[in-house]
Amino acid sequence: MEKIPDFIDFLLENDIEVSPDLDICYSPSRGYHVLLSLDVKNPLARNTPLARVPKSAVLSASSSVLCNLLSDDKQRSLAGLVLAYLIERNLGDRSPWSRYLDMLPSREESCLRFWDQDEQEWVRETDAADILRAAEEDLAEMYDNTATPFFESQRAVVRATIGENVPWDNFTSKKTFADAVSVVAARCFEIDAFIGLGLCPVADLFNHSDHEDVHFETRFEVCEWCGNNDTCEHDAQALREAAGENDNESEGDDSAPPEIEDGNNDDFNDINVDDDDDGDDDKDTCDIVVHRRIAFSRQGYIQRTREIFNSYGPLSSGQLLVKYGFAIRRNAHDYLSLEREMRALYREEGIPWHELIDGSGHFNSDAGTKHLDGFRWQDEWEDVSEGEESREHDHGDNHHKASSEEGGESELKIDIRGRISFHLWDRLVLYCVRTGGSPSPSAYHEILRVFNSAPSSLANRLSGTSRCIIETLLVLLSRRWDRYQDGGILSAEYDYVISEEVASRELTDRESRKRNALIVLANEKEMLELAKARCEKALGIV
Amino acid sequence: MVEVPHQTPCSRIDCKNIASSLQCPTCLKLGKDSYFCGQDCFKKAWPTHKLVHKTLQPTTPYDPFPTFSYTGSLRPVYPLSPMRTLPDSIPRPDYATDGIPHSEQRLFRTTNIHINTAEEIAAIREACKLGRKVLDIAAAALTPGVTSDSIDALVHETCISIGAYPSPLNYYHFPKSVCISVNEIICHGIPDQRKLVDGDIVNIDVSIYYKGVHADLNETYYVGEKSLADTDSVRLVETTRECLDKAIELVKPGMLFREIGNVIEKHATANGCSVIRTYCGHGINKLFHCAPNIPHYAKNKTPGVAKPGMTFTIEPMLALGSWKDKTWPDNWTSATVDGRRSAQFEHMLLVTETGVEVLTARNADSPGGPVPRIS
Repeated sequence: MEKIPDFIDFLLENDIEVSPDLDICYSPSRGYHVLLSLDVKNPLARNTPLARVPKSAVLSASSSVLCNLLSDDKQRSLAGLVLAYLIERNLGDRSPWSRYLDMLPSREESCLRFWDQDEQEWVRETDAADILRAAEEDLAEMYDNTATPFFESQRAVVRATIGENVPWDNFTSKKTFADAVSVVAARCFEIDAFIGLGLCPVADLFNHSDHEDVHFETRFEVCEWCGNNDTCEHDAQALREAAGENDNESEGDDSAPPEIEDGNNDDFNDINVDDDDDGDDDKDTCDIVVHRRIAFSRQGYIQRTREIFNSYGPLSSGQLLVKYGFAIRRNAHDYLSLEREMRALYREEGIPWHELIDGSGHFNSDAGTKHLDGFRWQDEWEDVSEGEESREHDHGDNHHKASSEEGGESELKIDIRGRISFHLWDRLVLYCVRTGGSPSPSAYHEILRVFNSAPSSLANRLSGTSRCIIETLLVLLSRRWDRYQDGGILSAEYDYVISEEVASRELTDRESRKRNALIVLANEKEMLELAKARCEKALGIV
Repeated sequence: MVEVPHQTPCSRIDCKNIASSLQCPTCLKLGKDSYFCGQDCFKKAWPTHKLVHKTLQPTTPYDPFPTFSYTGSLRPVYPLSPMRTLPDSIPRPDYATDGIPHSEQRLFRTTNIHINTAEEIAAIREACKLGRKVLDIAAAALTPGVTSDSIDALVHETCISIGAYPSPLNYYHFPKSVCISVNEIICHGIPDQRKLVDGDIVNIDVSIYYKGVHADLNETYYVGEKSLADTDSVRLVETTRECLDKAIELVKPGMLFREIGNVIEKHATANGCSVIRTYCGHGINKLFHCAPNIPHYAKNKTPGVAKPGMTFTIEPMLALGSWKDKTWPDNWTSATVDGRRSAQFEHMLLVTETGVEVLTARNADSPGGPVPRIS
């Protein structure tokens, strides 16, 4: 808590603007978080900027000591950012970001990776466990392929930079690296095409909600070579190369004196980009912007608490638990994987997993798309409810914290409304076709009616293929249900235990983890219950 | 009465008379002596004689930007001498033809810093020694009454004689072969017809292109006894010199480029000077200006770390007053906004395995050098 005044100094020195409507606070249970100030009188409209962070204040591999020690690609990646973070952190006060870095923990304790063995048992059969396994593989890959070669090849320079007080073996150990990954991955953002991933002060103070108040916005499309907003020499050069010109030829005749271009004459020495005299037009910032109108009644706040939330993305319970160490009951973006069960079914029937359906069939994965709107949800994470376009980019990812490369991400999933994904649909259909059904154009419409709560009288009129698909789905769901081996506890029963834990006191770390585990279990079970109920209703099983 | 040289013929070509003391008034203004035997002869000669005037340089000096609000007392003195040329045998950098350093722009603001090969380092060492030679020759010619243009001519001819190209020439269309910055000019002063005055402080910034690599160095010199007696000027110049020396002490593998500015600004502030922010040190090798970018002021965030084999400059500019600058309408000359004096020193450095090598170091007989402050 006492670190906040130093942090305020850091903000001032770096031209980081934070709206006076916000208070930055700290509590042991919530960590640093952002509250709406008590002084706020008027609602905050959509698109109001609440914080502006110049890109020059962002900590990234390219803006740090590391910029000439790693290839451009690696600089943009998570591994590059983690290495930059490690070095800057070890520089202590010598780092321009020291007052920001001081506020970060040495590792994200609540992440699933750091739970005790017996604690991890609580979520053994959930998606979280699968995602954790994949995350461990990613970590090993980053450490072996990026960190270790870097430490070996740049050993002399890095040692000279950080000094002899830091024991080298400790600094380069996998444990240190894993701790750093947990901290960085939980709070980094994708900044733009030049910087890649970066740590953005202030923006990362906001906690996550599935009904978020604000979004993180930046201009993503900049020159990859130099980060320039507008046209730069690299565009002109690309055009020249495309036209096949030789750069060394002089342009035109020399009879008239060449034009003196005003902007270029300042480049005799490199113009320094930190110059205070830059006009506001040139300022390039990462912004926290109001997404949903923040309003309050005279008596109090319409929102449950005064806390202002960002969205880290439409993340499932498993992803939230592994990467960020928390869980939200009835997470609006939740989904559940049925991949393991589906693979088992394929194996039992001897169907190769990777076989594509031939050209005469209707169901190769490209052709399937046009049938599936409304039946399956979009795989692109667009903000479908608002129908807006995020500012100046078409990447769905940029209005929330970056997810690392998807690890353990199955494409065969059901969501909280019990809808099934495009790939799951494909797989189910292929399964039914291979086990004796025939493709039927009406199957789609029938299934659609089923999942829109069709009356049970429809059960008799379902065509063969539709019936097969639903029956297969039911098998998958049942097997998944049985996997938990918890005696078939219902989500409502988990809820009872969870609400008991809602304490007027602060939970211990272990209690907190238990609670999160139970929430994840409740979420997954509820998704299964919903989907099962629909299938059973459609098949006439009451 | 003007002394007519004995037996000078009339300047009219077909006239065989001895000239009287009658002189063409226009020629007189242009500094040439043309005698005619009489008014009639003069009138007859006029149609062809007047062509002579066109070939002479008009020496009437003028300010090319009379409406510009200059920040100090210094004024440009035009016309500039014609753009100098070089023999074809001298290798040129890519911008010599169209003014644009395409090879640099390709790498503009990218973060990779070049590590020179052993061959490149050998060429760079040689180029830097020659650059030092050229600077010393130019500095030795500094004396009240000479024009900066004549120093430019000297630098240009010296470069030719050693087979080097003067790097500033045509770099983004810079019109001359060396930068000469007087008093309140921070950097990039264009050599012109202004005569140096006793009391001036002058920076000569020499850069040459030799065997495919660039060298770059500068020093500020005192012109005449008055400048050596001016307390503030001496404080400014010596502090700047010391700032560069202190910065160089930091350089070794593992050094963070962003920390150089801390040392410079600390010493500058302790001596009542400000640090110019707009212009920075830079990487230099086959390219005149490339990564890294090295600001001279404190708490900058320039990225990167020094590794053996890198070559770059540190070139702090300090001022007695404000650090802010204003550029003249020639789009080059940079002056302090309050017209107070500015000084600069520059060395080109090589990072070695254990530390640094000052490639452009002074020789025992180099002109100038530190002087004690006046208390």
